[in-house]
Amino acid sequence: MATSSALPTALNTPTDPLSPFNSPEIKLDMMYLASHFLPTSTHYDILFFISTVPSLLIFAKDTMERADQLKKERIEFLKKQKKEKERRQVELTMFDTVLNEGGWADEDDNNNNNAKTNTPIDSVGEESDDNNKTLDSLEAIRQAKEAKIRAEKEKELLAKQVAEVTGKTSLAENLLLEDVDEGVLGRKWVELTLTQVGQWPPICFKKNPSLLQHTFPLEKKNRRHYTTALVTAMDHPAVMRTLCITAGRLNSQMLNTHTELGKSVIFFNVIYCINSVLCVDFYPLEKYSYYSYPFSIYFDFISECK
Amino acid sequence: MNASKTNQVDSTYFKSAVEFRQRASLILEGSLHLAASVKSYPLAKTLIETQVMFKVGVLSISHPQTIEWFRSTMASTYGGPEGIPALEFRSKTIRTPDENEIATEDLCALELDIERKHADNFTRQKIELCAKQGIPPQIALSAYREIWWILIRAKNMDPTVPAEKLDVKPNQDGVGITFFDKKNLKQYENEAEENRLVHMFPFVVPNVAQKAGKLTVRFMAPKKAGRYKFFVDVKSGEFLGCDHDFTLVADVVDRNTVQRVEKVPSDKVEPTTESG
Repeated sequence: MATSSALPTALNTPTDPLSPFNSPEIKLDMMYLASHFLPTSTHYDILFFISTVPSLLIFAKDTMERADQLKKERIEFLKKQKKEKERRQVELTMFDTVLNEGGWADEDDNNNNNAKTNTPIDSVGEESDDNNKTLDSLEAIRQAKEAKIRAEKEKELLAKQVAEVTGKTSLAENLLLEDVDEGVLGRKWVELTLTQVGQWPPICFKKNPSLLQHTFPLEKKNRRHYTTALVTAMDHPAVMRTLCITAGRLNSQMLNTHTELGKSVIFFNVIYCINSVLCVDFYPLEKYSYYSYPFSIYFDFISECK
Repeated sequence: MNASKTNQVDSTYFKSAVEFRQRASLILEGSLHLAASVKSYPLAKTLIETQVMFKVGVLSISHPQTIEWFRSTMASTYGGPEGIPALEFRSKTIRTPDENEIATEDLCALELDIERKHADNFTRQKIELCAKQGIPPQIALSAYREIWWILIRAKNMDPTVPAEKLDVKPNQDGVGITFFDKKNLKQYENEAEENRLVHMFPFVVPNVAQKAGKLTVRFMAPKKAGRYKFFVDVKSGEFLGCDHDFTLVADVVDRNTVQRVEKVPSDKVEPTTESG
């Protein structure tokens, strides 16, 4: 099968100059781990420290900032969409009113009033001409309205095509976000579900309360300056995010089979299996059929397929 | 919430969770270098187990219910009890190749003749899955990777012989010992002899169909002569409940008392592979 290589240990003497351990980022992580790992460390201690290595906290902070940005964009987009919807609704209502009531009230009323005051009542032929004129103008309005709607649609389509071609398609248009879109499951749902089964806040704190005393640097923005304060894990947003993901991972069996997610998982599973050969970064193909991988893997893949 | 009806999930969280897991897995794997550099068996063992917990997604590595769940899932997925991952050792020896005895500081070897009991069922299931999905089996088979870790410790059976001091040196690329400060290092130096790793070696099964093979793990024999108990752990980096541990007893003689023909040392060792 295999044979070990040089002494003293294969792991202890990596000679590859391209080793990822040459990167300063990884070295920093390793230094952090080396200063916290102990021979007596438990599985949960190790997971806590792995989840809180500097590079993962930076990653978590970045993704949280990006998520916040997307949330703002999404809220803005939804507001705009709502306004646009309302505007169109008003226009359509006005248009319907015009058509149903026989013309633009003010103008036509004025016209009619003028006609009534300036024209003899018995002048039937002229009245008929006026009616024809009104019908003509209504027809013109209808055509103008249709043309406007057509033009708007074309403009929208063009803008969308341009955005797609230039890569400026707003993610905010397509993404569904927890707390913004109704019925969308995200981190809060994971935390809530974990809380219900006694797995949140992270059980590593129950198993080893000293982890609660562990502090992390947190950058805070004052009026003019950034200051760094040392805060505990519970008060550090990025730490709590990484711990939530880790807790979700360990409870993936329960989360995957949760009724609120059931249908989604089946859907994602099918999609994933069809394309699984492309996922060499993860695990051997057949393992997806028995391991309780969180739905996020499947979801991730779907988003890549789009 | 009705995500089950609408298939709606927040990808800003779940997508980053996938990337986080990939990164965390790499760091977990990397942290094994730390355990190896301080030769800490307890840390290495816990790290490997943590990796499995994280990969499979379970709360415990040893809880009977978790093990039972894993075994039943494997059995139902891989066509019965033969589908549960298991290694069987046909033979286990420790010796110095081409020599009659093990001498102190020899490049000795742990030789294991291993049978992968689950190979047939795994292969069958994989091929069936590929057929169902219309995927060429070669592609799926080539992506296969099964990792097992060999952890070796040694303890002198004569209690009067003092334990060897922890001997650690910085690595070429800065991995390992240089990351530890003196205070931390002290904790590892004070560890009991039987908790000190003599060697740690991962072996990867890249061929799902491989039924059997001979594994040779080379390591440095103890520096002091005597009768030694070698503790060997074979731990899966993927599966639950299929780890093995056994002990082998061997005499290590003083290098100065035996005559040895000088050999050109070679880093390249021909693999002794055998496919089933």
